[in-house]
Amino acid sequence: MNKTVTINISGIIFHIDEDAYDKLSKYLSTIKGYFTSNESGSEIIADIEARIAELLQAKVTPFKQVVLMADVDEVINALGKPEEFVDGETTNNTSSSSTQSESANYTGPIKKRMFRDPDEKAIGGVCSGVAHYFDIDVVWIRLATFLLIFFGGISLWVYIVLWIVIPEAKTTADRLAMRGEPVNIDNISRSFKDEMEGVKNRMNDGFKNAGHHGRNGLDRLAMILGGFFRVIGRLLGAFLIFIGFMIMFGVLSTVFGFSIAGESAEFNDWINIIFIDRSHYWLAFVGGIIVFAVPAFMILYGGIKLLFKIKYSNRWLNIGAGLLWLIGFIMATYAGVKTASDFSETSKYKESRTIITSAEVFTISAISEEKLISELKIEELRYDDHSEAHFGHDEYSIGEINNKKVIVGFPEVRVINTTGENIEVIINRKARGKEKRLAYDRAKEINYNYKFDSTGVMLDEIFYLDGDQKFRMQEIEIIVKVPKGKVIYLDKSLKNVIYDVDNVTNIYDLDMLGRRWTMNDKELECLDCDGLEKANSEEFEHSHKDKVKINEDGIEVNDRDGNHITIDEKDVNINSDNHEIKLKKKAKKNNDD
Amino acid sequence: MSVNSENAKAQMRKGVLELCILSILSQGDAYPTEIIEKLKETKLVVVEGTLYPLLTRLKNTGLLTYRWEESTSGPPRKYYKLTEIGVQYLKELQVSWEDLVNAVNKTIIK
Repeated sequence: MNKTVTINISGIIFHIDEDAYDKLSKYLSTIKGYFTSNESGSEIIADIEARIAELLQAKVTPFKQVVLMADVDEVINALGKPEEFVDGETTNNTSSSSTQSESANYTGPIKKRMFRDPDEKAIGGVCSGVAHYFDIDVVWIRLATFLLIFFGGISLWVYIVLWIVIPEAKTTADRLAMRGEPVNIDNISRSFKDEMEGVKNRMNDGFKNAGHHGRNGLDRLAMILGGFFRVIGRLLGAFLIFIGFMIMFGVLSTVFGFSIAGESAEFNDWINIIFIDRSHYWLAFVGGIIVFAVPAFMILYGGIKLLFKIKYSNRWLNIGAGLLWLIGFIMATYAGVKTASDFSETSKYKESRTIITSAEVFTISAISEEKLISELKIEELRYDDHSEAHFGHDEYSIGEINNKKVIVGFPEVRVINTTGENIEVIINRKARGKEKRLAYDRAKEINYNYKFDSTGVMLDEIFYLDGDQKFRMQEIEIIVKVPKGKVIYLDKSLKNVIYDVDNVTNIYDLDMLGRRWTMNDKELECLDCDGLEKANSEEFEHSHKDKVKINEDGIEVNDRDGNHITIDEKDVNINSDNHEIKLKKKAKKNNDD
Repeated sequence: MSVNSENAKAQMRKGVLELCILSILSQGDAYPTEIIEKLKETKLVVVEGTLYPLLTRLKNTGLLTYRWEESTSGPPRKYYKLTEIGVQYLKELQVSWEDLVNAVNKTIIK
């Protein structure tokens, strides 16, 4: 007795002989092949399957419950060959003779394709579909899916993507293709080889026949190209999946990172201080995620479709993804532009003091941050890297005074020349805003103190913003204008605030501290940095001396210890630590050696 | 040569099939099997499969609609029905069919 198989056609269960089953399933997959390019293909196939079920039901009686080969033959005869009933207007005419002869006899294994299994589903039938595709027990796939939820929810995302990408097995042909030959490395490499072989053969055929069939030439070229594209398509699919995963991973870790950072007080403080309000932050955040996640998702989607040859496209998904992306883009842009516009205008509030002094030396010093913090009762000033933000060369930090947030920043001190008679101290408060007026008001709000008398000026090392002010690039610039001939002393306490002071010897700002300086016609000149000046000038000389000289005489290399190498027409001369090596050139005749 | 004449016959049948289906449905709603039975009586359909893509196309162009009806003895049935546009379309087809028959008859008699 023959082995029988149980199948479900259009919701009706049939017991069918194995050989009859093979024939029927091949017939169905051939029909399917004809209609996949048709938009309503699955509907037509479902109709045909319903008819097959009806016809087969008439063949089954209580006395003969099994569908036999003869029954299937009869059904196929009644319905006809697929190529006979393709409706001319809905499907492209299959003009080339080779495809017709291929499909006329339903031979060869059924091409396996990935479907979601509606009969064995827990949620969307994705796991069972994957299990069918790789011929693994669905338990393992489900277990892996469940476990991977705990690794950043990877499987959750993959599940959603696959749910959307993989079509459900609606027709019997789908179910048969779903269960076809299992996909493993052997099969993939075999089908890859077959495809390459096919490309080669078609190419040969194409060249052979090119002369005979002028009109068919184009068809054949299309077929050859098609083969190439299928091979490349698979590779591209794998590549796209990789890229999609990378972006998705990036997006996920960003969300993860931000949700962790969202717990921290510093991060929340900065959000409140920079964004106009909380909703702008969420708009920017969610919008930004969408802008990256949607393309990543679509790349994954396309990659999976290419790799597993899923011929299925969902117009609504594409439109939906496009719309979602647009919404995300608008959200992020709106929040970004709105926030940025509050930074657009800069304004300056200027305060100037003229100091009439008879003191020989005018001292510029700073009151240290630590002292100020304790005086102002600034609490919880956080100095770790997370709470310190850098904007250009400026550094800011957040603290608290009486449970109110304050932003703390560092001023910049410059010393320049003036044509006036007296020393002048200018305090510039700068800030940004949507309008000049708002920026100006903000600038005025900056808290900054300094003390001065006839012997010098003491500048606070920090400024701060209180009263829940937004951060809008508030800066303090202090300019000390010194008339010609006046002597100033730059105290070491200026180490955190001195900024790019011009001086004759071009030494670094920090090296300028703890010394007396006098103003010449345009810049400062050091009074007591003899050692430093010398060292610097030496350095200066060395760095400007030609160490390597190449000219028509030859090559000359010198170092500062007096070692030198010269190469010229006549010889090579190496002179190092009083040892001399000379290489004389031989006569021209032996030059080749 | 016989292959060619078969082909020509098939093409002719295909051409009038649309008209026949619409005419059958104008006499009352029917599901594909019923339509097939009627077409088979008149030997207009050789293979049943031809019908399904055609019905789907006619439905998609708005000439037909369908409803599901449960069947006691098999899968649920799709009952097709002519739409207003379908009725209109059928009238036009009938007119041009008559014209065509007359014209063809005259041509053949000569």
